[in-house]
Amino acid sequence: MLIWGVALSMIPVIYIGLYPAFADQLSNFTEMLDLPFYQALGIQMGTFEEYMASTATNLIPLILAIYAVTTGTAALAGEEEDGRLELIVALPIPRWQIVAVKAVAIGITLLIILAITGAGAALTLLALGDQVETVDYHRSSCLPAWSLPGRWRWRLP
Amino acid sequence: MTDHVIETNNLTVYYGRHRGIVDVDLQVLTGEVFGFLGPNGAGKTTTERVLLDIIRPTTGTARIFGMDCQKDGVAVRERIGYLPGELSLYDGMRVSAFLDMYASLHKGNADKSYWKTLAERLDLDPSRRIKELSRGNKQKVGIVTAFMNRPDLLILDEPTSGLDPLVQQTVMEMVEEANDAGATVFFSSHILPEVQAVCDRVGIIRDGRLIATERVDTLTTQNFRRVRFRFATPPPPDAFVRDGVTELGRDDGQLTLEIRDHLDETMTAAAGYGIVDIETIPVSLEEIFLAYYGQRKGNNHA
Repeated sequence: MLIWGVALSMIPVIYIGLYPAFADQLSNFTEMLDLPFYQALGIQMGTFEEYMASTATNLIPLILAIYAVTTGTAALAGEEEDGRLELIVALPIPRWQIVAVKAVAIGITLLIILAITGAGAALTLLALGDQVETVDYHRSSCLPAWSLPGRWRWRLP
Repeated sequence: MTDHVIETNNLTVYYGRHRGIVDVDLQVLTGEVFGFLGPNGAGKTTTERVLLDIIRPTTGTARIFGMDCQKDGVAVRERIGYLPGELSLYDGMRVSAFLDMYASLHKGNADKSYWKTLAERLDLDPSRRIKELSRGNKQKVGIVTAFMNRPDLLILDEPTSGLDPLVQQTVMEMVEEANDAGATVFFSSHILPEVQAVCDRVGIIRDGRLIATERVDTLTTQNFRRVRFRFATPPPPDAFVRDGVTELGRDDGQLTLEIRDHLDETMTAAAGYGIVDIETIPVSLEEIFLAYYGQRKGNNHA
């Protein structure tokens, strides 16, 4: 779980880290981004927020879904396969409860992974500071002030 | 009906097209120790897994304590202690953490101090991590989980496998004590003396069918043993020709006999050829069982 969290946080970290260099070159891309293909994918790169939404935030839910599927399969089918579930199902617990508990556990791990990813992104942003121009959502109160470290926004999938 | 702890009717399980068990009618009486015997793949584990509602029967019913194993599964399992044949545990956990968790999931029927007593008795160190344990020690963890809720019915799949003889004996003592305290025991085993010592009745399952059940004391009165002799001088081929004595194999000075009758005469005859070594080969209860039934059928024909 921690490994997934750290690995996943590399995505926003790398994309945010690349942004200053990318912003310099942005004019070279604008023509390409006008192509219907990119329009259809909803990819826009005008501002930092659009850049992140088109890159990292597109990837992360996909990878989280892969994580959820693999751990979900391992938690039930895998444990059943190698016999670890045998002792648990012998307990006086209804079957639906076992499935529900496993599902909740995976839900919690997903949230923790997401938190680690978010923290990684936030730290990168803070480190880069002035090099990244962000919309001040704090002041425009698009999100409650406590939800994110002030001067930037992270779009949750 | 209430004197049957386990009762199955025409219990049949098919895994797709593969046979699990076919038409098993099994009755285990309250307070008895029932030995479940049969070769690997005969359906012992399948039967046990149906009783715990781990798998569902294709047709037929299974009842425990008069309740349906499927519909009243939770109530049934509250009073069962189960040890699976192929035990697999959460490797990363410590023994104590696992047993605490398992006890808490028993909702009041099991407590920490009791599993600690059991672990101590089996000489199991609860502070170890499960992945560090030897096969025998893992088996001990399984045994503790089976006994910790003071069950009315113990279902044990080869409980002593992987254990050294001293611990095997402890486990069989625990089984007997639980039985003395009123628990019914249903267990499978390959070890004849173990079955002889504790079982009241045995059932034999073969190719998915329960072929018969019989009282153990009926079976063990059968004189049936296999002996391998090593002689200084190879005896002539007709040296041991008697009723009830069968020559199974011969290699130079070595001779293997199956002796069902005339034991004394055979031994006296053997002594005449200078016995260098003698070894008895364990006979499985299943073989005794089949021999017993074969013989009885033979007598009926005569």
